[in-house]
Amino acid sequence: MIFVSLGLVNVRRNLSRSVLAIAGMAVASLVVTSLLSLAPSRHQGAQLAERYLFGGDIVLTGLQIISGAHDLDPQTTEPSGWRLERPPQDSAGLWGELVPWLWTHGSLSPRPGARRAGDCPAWLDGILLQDVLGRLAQNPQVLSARPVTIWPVLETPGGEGAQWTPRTGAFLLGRDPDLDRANWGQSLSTLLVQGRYLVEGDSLVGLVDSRRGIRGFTFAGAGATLNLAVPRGYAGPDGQPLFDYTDLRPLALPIAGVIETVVGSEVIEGEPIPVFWGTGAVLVPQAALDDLARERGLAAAPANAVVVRARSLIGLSDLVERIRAEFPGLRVASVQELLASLNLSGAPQPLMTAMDGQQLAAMIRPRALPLDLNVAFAVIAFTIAALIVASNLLVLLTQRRREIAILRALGAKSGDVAVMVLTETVLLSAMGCVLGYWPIRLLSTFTLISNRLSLGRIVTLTLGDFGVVVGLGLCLAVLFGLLPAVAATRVTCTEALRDDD
Amino acid sequence: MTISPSLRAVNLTKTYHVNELVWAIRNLYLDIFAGDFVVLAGPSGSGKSTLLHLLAGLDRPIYGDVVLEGQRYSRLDEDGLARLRRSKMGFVYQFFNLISYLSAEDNVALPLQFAGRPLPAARRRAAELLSLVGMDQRRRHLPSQLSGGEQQRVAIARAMANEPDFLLADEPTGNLDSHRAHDIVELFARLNRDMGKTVVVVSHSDLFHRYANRVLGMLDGRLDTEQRRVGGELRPVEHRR
Repeated sequence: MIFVSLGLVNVRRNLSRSVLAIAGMAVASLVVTSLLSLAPSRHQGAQLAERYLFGGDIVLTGLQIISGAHDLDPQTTEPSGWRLERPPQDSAGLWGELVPWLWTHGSLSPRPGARRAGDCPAWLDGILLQDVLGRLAQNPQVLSARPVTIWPVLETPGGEGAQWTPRTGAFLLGRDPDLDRANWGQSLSTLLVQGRYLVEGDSLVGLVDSRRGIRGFTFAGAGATLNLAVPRGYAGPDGQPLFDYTDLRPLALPIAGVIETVVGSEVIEGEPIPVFWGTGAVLVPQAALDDLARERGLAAAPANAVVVRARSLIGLSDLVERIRAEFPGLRVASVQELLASLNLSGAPQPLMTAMDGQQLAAMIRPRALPLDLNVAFAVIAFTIAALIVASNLLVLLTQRRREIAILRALGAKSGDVAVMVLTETVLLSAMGCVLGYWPIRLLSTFTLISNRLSLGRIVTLTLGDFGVVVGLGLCLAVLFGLLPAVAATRVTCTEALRDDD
Repeated sequence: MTISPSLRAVNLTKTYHVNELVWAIRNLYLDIFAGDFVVLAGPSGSGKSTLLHLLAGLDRPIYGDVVLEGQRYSRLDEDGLARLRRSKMGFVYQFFNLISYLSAEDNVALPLQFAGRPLPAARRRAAELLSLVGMDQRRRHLPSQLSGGEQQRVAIARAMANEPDFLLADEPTGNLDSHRAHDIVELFARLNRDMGKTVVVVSHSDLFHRYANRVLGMLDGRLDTEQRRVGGELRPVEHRR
């Protein structure tokens, strides 16, 4: 303990050098804190394209039409009453036989006798929908919330004349073109690369993803026709809208245009190549969907989902958690989570596939590249700062050789002297880290508060980042502080105390 | 009955490299007995301080050994020597070597804290020791606020902190005027006489001779002459080379 207190005294004694060391560490801490403070909004750029596709940032749905392919093993319970069939020209080919999980896509058919296509633990009927919309409107982080229809349909894999193999995963997504334009403005025109945007008004036309083929769906462009099979809708025992996939009606859907969704880029031969996301989503006007619903037995297209647009993408995960907590009966997922789910599985799963929170968190982790770079920057910044502190102490040691020799002569052990020097290093570094952390963090906190992030989330972020900054700073300071500490232990009693002989 | 020496130098040899090889101590044998008051005298460069450092365990010989109450220094590692210095030896320097930013009391408390005594207890003991050396009124002062004689008194109190059996001093009066030097000599004598400390002092001056029971003259790293007190007077004895 005495050596720790001697280290503390030394910090005070050489104030100018201490201030220099603290300043170096504070600058490093400031840089790292800035990087970490940017981290909560790091997905903002990446997600702009993705959020358009769903018309928002978060999707709430009560429907569970079918499960993922992994739930459809005949040996397991089959709550959905579907059976899995692989198409004859499956892209996985032989590999799909040998390694089932490489199976990129499959087809689902209703089991004989099955009349219902799923269970609905919490459907969005009229009453519940109003309740959900009302409560979402009170959330300060929510910019808008609007009901949409997600209507799972089947489609033929080939063109005209091809063998009819119903394929799941495609879904009609009801959109209001005027609302979309109001919501997305300029970004809408940059996303549309070909064709028109549902200009036909209420007529039944669709927009498709230009890369849908990579997910096993039929490639289709503007002017093409998509061959779909639309299930009949009916009211369930409790009034909930259900779809009966044993009663399908063929639908030839004219494609008005395609959308392209860039979700990232990869460098090939030195050139960044955009990575597109393919989906089976077919965007159709909501009004046309209502007509289709009436034709298929429902009063109107069921609003079986709510798309929420967040006021800010900063703290989106926090908003998702809050909505999940508020509506435990509904399935709530951010668009990013949905994309992660789709990208990982590689299968054209419908939107309503049950998701596990932890699994999704693991899925989206590889996308956090900016955070990894933050760590690299943090290590570099702290390494430089720790070197400043260590070199400072090395210089000081030359002045303190006599003093250390006295301590050694009085019975201080090597370890004691090392503790004294390390205490000084750690104290200087800790002070620098703390000084550099708080100014930036306070500014960042104002940003988070203005984005209506919950207090709990702000505290978690603040303390978590504080732990990272101080922990990393101190670890590196101790590492580099070992240099002067070891040098101090090598001071011998006589070399510094010899006066005369 | 033969009295075995408390501190023994056996064939002690130490060299330095300063452009050329310098033999600081050459094959030196020395026995120091409990309660001795030994003065090491001799010209500059004769090896007095080197011998004192070797006896205190501050330095290591290139050959030979020092044995303290049966314990051989060569068998101890650096931390072992540190423990030995802390518990068995008190060392006083010509230039006091007090820690400049600690008060007189905290300087004296330092070795006590090294030995694991908590600060309050260490400070109480330090106050007692400072009182013993007549510095109780100045215990809150920094070394820079004390005179040379006062600093040396504090240094002696510090050397006494862990109640060592041996008190070794390297020119303790070398930086003091004659009046203050006399006080310090008296203090060493009192510690030897009243508290039974074994004192080994390196000194150019003959101030200590009045109280010493042995005066060893060194030359070229060897013990050259020896005087022992017999019947109140120092008398030369035949020296064994």
